[in-house]
Amino acid sequence: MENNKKKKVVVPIGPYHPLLEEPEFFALYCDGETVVDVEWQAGYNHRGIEKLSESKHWDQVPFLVERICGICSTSHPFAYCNAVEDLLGIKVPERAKYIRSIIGELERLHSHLLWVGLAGHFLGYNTVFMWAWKYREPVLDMFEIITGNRNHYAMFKIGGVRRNIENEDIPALRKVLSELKGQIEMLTGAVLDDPVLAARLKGVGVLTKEHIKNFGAVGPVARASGVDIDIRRDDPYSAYPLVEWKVITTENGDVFDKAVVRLLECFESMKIISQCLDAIEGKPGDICAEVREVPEGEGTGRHEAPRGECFHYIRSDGANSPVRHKIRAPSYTNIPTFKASCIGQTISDVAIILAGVDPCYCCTERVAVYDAEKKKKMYDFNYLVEKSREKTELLKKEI
Amino acid sequence: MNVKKPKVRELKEAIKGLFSKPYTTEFPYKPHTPPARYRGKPEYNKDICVGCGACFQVCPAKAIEMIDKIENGSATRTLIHHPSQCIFCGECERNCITGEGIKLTTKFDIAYFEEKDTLNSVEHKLITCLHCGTVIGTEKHLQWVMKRLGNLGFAQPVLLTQLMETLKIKTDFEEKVVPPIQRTDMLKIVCPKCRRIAFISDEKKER
Repeated sequence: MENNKKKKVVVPIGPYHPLLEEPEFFALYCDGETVVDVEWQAGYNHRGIEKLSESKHWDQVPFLVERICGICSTSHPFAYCNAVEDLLGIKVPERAKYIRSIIGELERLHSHLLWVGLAGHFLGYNTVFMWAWKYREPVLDMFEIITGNRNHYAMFKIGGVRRNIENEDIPALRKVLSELKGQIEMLTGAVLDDPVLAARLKGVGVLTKEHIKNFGAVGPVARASGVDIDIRRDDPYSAYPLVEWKVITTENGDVFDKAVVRLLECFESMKIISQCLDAIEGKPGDICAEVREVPEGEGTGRHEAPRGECFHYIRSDGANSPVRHKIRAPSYTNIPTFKASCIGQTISDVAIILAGVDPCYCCTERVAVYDAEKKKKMYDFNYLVEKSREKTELLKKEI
Repeated sequence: MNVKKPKVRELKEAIKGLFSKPYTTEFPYKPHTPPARYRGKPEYNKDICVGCGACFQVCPAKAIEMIDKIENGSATRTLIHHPSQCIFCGECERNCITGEGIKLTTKFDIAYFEEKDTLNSVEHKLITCLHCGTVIGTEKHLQWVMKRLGNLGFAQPVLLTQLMETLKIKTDFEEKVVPPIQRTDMLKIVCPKCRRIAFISDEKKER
């Protein structure tokens, strides 16, 4: 395909229908095989959630913010409830705190397993994809038993939780956790020992500490580069200060380390859940504090979502709904790091680098490649994934 | 590089997989039983629902429709649940004043060809003000309030008259109010606003 007119035309790829959350557009400028520049555009899926939230009752907003994201669907209500409780200054009952942490950590488990599976899929290592998604299924089943749905748990309420974890559900949850522990150990071993994956991912898409600080990246992306931040420890909330766990950090900042951080975090999550279960078992108590009305004022709430810090700000004028509701999701700060991590890499590595920060995959679906000199459209997303798999095949033969 | 160890592990999983049952369920061929506390399609219990409309007010997705139809002589309130808009949050169940008027079932297969097949509705008789015609509440709701208040309910003229009507005790309070509204009309079924007017206007007349 020759661009005879020599005009700088940007051709957007893919229909911009709101398929999933946060569809974005990436334009990769390439010199041969090497990426020279990345352009990022967002805002194709503006649903007006913040404005919509201003027309809902305080108790109805959790259901709305839950639907911002399909995968981390409890992190937004978590942050929202933290924000409103910050404004109200109420004390959440102990049992509710533990239940909240259990839900939050179960979500982290299933989200990280989903990421590991998809990363394997992008690399052409479909065994990892099958294993990870198979082991994720019991977690979702557990959600169905405890909360009543595989996703969109509707558990969070200002002042506590909506549903109790019944005593008869706890043995089933423990059984799932003990089985999952062995399975994730196996999966971690499979990912970390594999020479092909190590050759494919080590040194790819490196983000240094400087990059993380300049871009303000959060969550596993920052922790993989050795930046020791975690809202659960730095700004304690819910039951996290009451249980023992540690923040996982690695030093290299490449895609391999991001995978390591996520897999090791799964074990920490399981530790937190089993401690929380010990704390609530056989100890009945209130699950919700009474909330009469929301006074004037403002509040902020944060939660360490599977992808990083999720931030909510609310302002009230004493009426039935928020006057202002500001939401900042973790992907918003993580995605600009592509500007640092993609440049200088080959096209075949771009798919996994883009996947490395765990954005929504609809984000990467809108990738178009331009030749730096000719400024023409060359590749689409499927081509990138194909390229990525080809490289894995090549490495397999070499090793 | 050590390739053997991961390969052995994979092989072990593969052999295990060869002798175990498929992980997936045979859903369309074998029925699926959701867990007991699954949040499925909400359904009205026609005997218990009193038609207060709380579910309509609290629904975050506006999936419940409330239609007050006042035609000459008869007034009805219909509450319709639209599964296509429902987000299965369970707010209607949690806020139901009777506790069991609307309940989430474990029905998950709610696909339909025509929307009217899937709508779940409940109809109630409405009590309207004899003077101005505004809605006071449904018949069952007033009975429910009377039951909850016990003896205290006899202090409320509308509840008392309504109770006498249901017990089929003949009173002369059912007649239409002839304007202007007077103090004698206070025991008739009138809305709080009209009752206040009746009380105040009569006071004025006496002076």
